[in-house]
Amino acid sequence: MSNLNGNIYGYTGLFPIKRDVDCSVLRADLRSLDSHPFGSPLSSIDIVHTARLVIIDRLPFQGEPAKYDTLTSAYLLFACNFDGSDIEELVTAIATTIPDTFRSLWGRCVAVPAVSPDPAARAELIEYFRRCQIRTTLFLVDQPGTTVKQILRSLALTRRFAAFVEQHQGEDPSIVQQRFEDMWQAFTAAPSPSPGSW
Amino acid sequence: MADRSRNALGLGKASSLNVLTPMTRVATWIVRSSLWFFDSCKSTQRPAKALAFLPFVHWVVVGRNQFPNLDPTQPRERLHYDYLLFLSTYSGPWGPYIEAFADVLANPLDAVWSWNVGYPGARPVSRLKAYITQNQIESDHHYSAYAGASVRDVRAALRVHRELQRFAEETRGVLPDQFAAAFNRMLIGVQNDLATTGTVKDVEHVSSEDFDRTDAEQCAVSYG
Amino acid sequence: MSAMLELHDIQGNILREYGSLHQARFIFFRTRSAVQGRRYIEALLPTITTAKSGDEIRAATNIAFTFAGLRAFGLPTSSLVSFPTAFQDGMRARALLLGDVEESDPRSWDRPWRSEALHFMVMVYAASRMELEQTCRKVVQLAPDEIEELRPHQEAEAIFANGNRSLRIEHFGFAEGLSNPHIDFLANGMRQFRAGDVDGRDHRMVALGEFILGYPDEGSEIGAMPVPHAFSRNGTYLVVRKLHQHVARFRHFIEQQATLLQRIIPGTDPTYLAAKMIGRWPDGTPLAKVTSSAITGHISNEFGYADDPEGALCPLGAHIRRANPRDSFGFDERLVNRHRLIRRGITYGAPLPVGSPDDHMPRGLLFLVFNADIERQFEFVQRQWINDGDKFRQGNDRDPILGSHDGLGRMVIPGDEREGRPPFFCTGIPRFVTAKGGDYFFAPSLTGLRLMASSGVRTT
Repeated sequence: MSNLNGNIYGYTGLFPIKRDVDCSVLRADLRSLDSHPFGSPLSSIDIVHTARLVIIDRLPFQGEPAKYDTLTSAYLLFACNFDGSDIEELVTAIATTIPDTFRSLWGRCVAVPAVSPDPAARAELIEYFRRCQIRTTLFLVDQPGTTVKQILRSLALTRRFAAFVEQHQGEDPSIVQQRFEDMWQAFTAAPSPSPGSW
Repeated sequence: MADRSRNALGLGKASSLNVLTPMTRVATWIVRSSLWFFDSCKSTQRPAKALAFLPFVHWVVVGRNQFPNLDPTQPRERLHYDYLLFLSTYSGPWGPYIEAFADVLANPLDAVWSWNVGYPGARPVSRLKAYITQNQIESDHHYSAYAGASVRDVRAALRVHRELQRFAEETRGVLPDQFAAAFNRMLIGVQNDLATTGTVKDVEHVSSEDFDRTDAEQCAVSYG
Repeated sequence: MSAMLELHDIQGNILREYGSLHQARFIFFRTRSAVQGRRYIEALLPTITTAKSGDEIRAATNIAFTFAGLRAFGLPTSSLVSFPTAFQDGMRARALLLGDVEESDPRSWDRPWRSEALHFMVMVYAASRMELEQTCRKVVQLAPDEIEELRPHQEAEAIFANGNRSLRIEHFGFAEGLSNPHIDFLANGMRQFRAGDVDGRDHRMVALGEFILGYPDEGSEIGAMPVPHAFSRNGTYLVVRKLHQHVARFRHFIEQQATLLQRIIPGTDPTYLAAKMIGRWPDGTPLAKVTSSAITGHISNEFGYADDPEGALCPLGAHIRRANPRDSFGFDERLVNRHRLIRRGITYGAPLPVGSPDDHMPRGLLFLVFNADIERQFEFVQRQWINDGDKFRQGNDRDPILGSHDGLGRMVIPGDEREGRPPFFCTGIPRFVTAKGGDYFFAPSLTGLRLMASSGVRTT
């Protein structure tokens, strides 16, 4: 199934934008999202590896003899790579974790359902994302068997271990052994870095 | 620039690349087949893996009738072409990224894009760059959960975690000398995976106005 | 593919090493009048050394212009706008891109670099002090009134190891100028010309268009040239950087780190550590070929890193491995050959005697590089290979010698499984090199200079 590679699902959706919406305002709003300390409100969703939002309001023209295509609606492209096997997991996370962000961005889209904990509303929201999904033909992933949490933990461990070696290189083996035990315990007990903090 | 991921600490390593190109119906069929072939023939993916700059890549065919239509008030699109949407990320500057593709992956590039309207071929690269520039769409928002870690950084970190996990388990309770020998062996195994990672300070966008022009020998023909 | 080369039209210091011309002076000028400027070029033309000159010359003169200079000489707007962005910006404006921050901030640069008033530079080289003075005197005498010399000029002089005049060294004590690309072209029908030391038979040649405008480059096309082409053909871009070397700081650092290093790897010494950071022994022998300082003397450019993937011989982040990765990236060097540079650097300042404390005197390297594309070559190396380490599995870690460090620089010196040698983690690396000036120049061909002199640079 081409949208899934290992543990990672790659969702691409084109959400039609209401025709009376001023896209330049929406664009400005989207571009202000990265002022978030962790790079995006989507950082609150810990299964998201990467995401992008792109307003597509025109199609490229190659010049004669190619024909010129125009769009009657603008679309909000949302592409997201996340840990999971179905879009339902992502939509549920968005609805429960960042409902306000969702409303402010998707609120300008055609036929967007309401966001509420009500199971029927939730099902409608998931259905909305399915209707707007474009199936990926080829999806390549460098590390398909891993999760966001694993990656962040591993990055933290790498930094911790490098500092450990710098501090203890050349020391007596029994000291190194004891310090390694301490370091490993500390690492195991420590929380993973937050998504978007690395 | 919204293509570049970032967080409060600084700029991320990856920029997004979105390219939308038109295809005729025949082309769509060929492109789908080429992509299917690349998916099943893993050896073609080896050069891309060796280049180590693609964490996630999507090729999405958007048929002319596949633009979602959710409401009767929304008119249907009437298009002459189908479209190929290519979504990837790259680190470092844009130019060398395209050049690397043209230098090393020219054949797979041509195999997929030859059937796209106006595609000039991967080489010479200046024409390819012009084609991509014409058809590239800047992201309005690009986020990464680990923006300060490149593909290599992630590979290295995962390797370190795996090796240390194994090492910790295997050396639990051994004597110091045994530990030391095993530790040195393990360390040599991960020595090149312990580089510094994380987002970097913003060094991209600077204008000459940022510098004070206090020198008395002010250039009469200066601009800015 | 090989290209025929018009040696008489290309300035000499691009393709010639000037190996016997140990002295140099770089004179900086500004013109107050386009007309007088053109007269000066007319007067200088007969003195400009071309690539046709042989090893017998005793002095050489070459010239290069900044973007502000080309404008001051009256080039039309339609020509000016066709020059690449980096050249139009000038090096100062691109300080953040290049890592010229803090100590290297252009606001702290030496005169006349700091002022941005520089229009053109005359480079004089000579075999002796007397011949240098004679040649410089003529250059300055020929200048009309409206040509202003920007003081101070820059003196430079090659340093040699133990009076061995065939081996130039730089202030940290290491052989320099050893590696230049082997260029693919034909001179008089024979592949006999070298742009410096041969870069080894094992490595295929680099296309001429990487270094001179108007010829096919590594992308199998002729790269974009400023208009009119008659003006820019056979010319190229020159990157100049005045790099101050903190010799006392460097020596102190390696001695201090070597104490810890010796505990971890017995039998090593400060020279071993310095060599690991640089990638060559002081006499130029590459670490990739020779592992012990006891058996050096094999100064060579015929080597690669394919047999050393983990950096056991030459660390992955060592300076020369970053500045020229050779076969490290596979793909038949295709990912490297678009980023080669012709290096024509020359040292300046009196050497600091070994054992002396810091005397705060100016000394370093006048770094000169010729390339056909400033962004894709010099700036790429600086940004992607020197001030970043991703391609070498070094993450954010920078070049140990040239990198703009903040005192927290680090580098892993890999161990060797077979030898049972542990790795060494070098930490607290300070900045060893500070930029004190520089700019981007265009070095026209002789044809280009004649067109400038005769107001012939026109577009339709």
